[in-house]
Amino acid sequence: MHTSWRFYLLVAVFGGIVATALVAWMSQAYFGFGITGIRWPVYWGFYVTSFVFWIGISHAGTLISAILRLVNAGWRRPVTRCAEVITVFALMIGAMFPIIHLGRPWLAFWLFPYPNERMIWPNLRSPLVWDFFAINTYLTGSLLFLFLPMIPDFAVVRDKSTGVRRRFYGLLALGWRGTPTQWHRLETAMQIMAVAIIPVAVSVHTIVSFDFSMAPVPMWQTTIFGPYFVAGAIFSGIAALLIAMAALRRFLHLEDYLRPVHFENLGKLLLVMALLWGYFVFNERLVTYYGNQPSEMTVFWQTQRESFAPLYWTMVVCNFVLPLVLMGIRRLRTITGCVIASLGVIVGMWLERFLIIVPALGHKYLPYSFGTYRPQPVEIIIAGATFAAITLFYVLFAKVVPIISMWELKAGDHS
Amino acid sequence: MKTLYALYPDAPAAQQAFNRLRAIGLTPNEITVVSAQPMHEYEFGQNHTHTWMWRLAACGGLLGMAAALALASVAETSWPINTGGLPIFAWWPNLIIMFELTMLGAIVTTVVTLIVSAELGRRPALYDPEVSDGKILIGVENPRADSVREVEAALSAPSGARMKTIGS
Repeated sequence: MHTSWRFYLLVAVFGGIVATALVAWMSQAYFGFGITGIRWPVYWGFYVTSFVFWIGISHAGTLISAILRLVNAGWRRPVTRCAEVITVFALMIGAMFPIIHLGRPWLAFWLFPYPNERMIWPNLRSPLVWDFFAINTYLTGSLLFLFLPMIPDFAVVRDKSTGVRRRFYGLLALGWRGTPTQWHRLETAMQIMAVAIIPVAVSVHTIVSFDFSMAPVPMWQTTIFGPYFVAGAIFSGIAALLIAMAALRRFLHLEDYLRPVHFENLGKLLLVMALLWGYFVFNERLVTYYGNQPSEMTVFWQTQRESFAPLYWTMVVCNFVLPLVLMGIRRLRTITGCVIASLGVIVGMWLERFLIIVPALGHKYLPYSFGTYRPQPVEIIIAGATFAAITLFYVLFAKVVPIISMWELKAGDHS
Repeated sequence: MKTLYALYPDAPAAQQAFNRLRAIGLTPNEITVVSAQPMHEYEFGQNHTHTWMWRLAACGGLLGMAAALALASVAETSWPINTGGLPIFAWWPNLIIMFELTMLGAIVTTVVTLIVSAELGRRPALYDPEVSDGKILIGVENPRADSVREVEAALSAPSGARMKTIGS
């Protein structure tokens, strides 16, 4: 199999960015958090923003794929694996941020549910421990949900390769042959996994929202955060999926599989989610405005017309106006239109997470505790490099594993 | 030890061979079918459709829930600490842990059941790499000595069939 020089160049460039971020992280561990912009009163900055953002992006795959599997949407077949891969890598990156956010990351295992020598356990009533359970369940489920339908494809690659490759894919194929019993069990397992993974996916982002809504911080303690976060996660997830599909289509020449109809259908979903996102934002804003609590209104005006207003209105344009125009007008719902709208949504959703965290923490109740947050180079490098990391992982994955489920595609053609 | 099998270019030919093997008295369990995609629309692709996977997944979920309950109970009562006025054993927050471990139990049980019931990871049985090119394999492992000719005739009758034999 020939590998283009472009592949090596891409891996070198993105690998270099990831290596730079690793150096930045090590310097943070060595010099301490003083080199970041995280200080009283804003203890959550780029890292927690990125954590919430990437956990949100992870909703692209498994959740969307599971829903489409259950409703038996035929057009999902070329899309599901592209989507499920995003979930796994985005979750891995997202789950790294609580560790990056630790001053002593080598003590991250303290979060594991086992007691110390004095038989004191982690506090299972804390939302941060709920995160541990939710993210690990979702990651395990998503990995298995991705791996199971790959087994028959590994068997095909095994049969078509020789030497070390044959042994490698033979191991991954787990001795798959393709008997009726194996097909039936695999499809049943995928159905069960789909049923189980949907509530888990919803729970993950609800629990991430609990990190905020369980805290007595202005504009955080609201019951709408659960569904608002879940909707936002699916929204950004679809955007990430559209960008990944467009890139795969262009660079791997998958025009025959990832057809305009797939972009059209996902574009419609993006439009629905943009409307839902607008609905949630309107609810959140109106209730705060009508309640007129002084502490909440301070944060409210910070985002509406004071220092954070440029970011806030950029977010509204990116998350609502742009997808509404590009996905609402049929003529503009092209592959290019989908990519532009999705890039806007990615920017908008990252800003949304930032605007939930920073203005509220910087304006808690009494003016003596007001403060601001200025991200420092180490945080910008690490947060920015995660985009390079997911691209790198995706490219490497697509090199080793068939990125489109061959047997599902054949089964679709057959039926 | 002798194994007879044939490769077919399409599903109707494979179904024809399957029908002929059934006609000479072989049960579906005695006929090996291998294909590169599910063939549920055809009789030859419908063997062994009964499974306990759903029930086992539910049992795995219950096991996960019980483990979560035990974990929460031990963790919160072994060194009781008052946290924000919550009860020492707080049901509402514990429901989250219970939910996650219930789902994890169901997911892991499903995968284990798949591996065991689909006989994944076992030593190689009747297979031909040409299946990966879209061919359908129908075969009989260790047929009775008196029926070998009949089996051969049944397997080679459909158009496009390519007979193969393993062993003597």
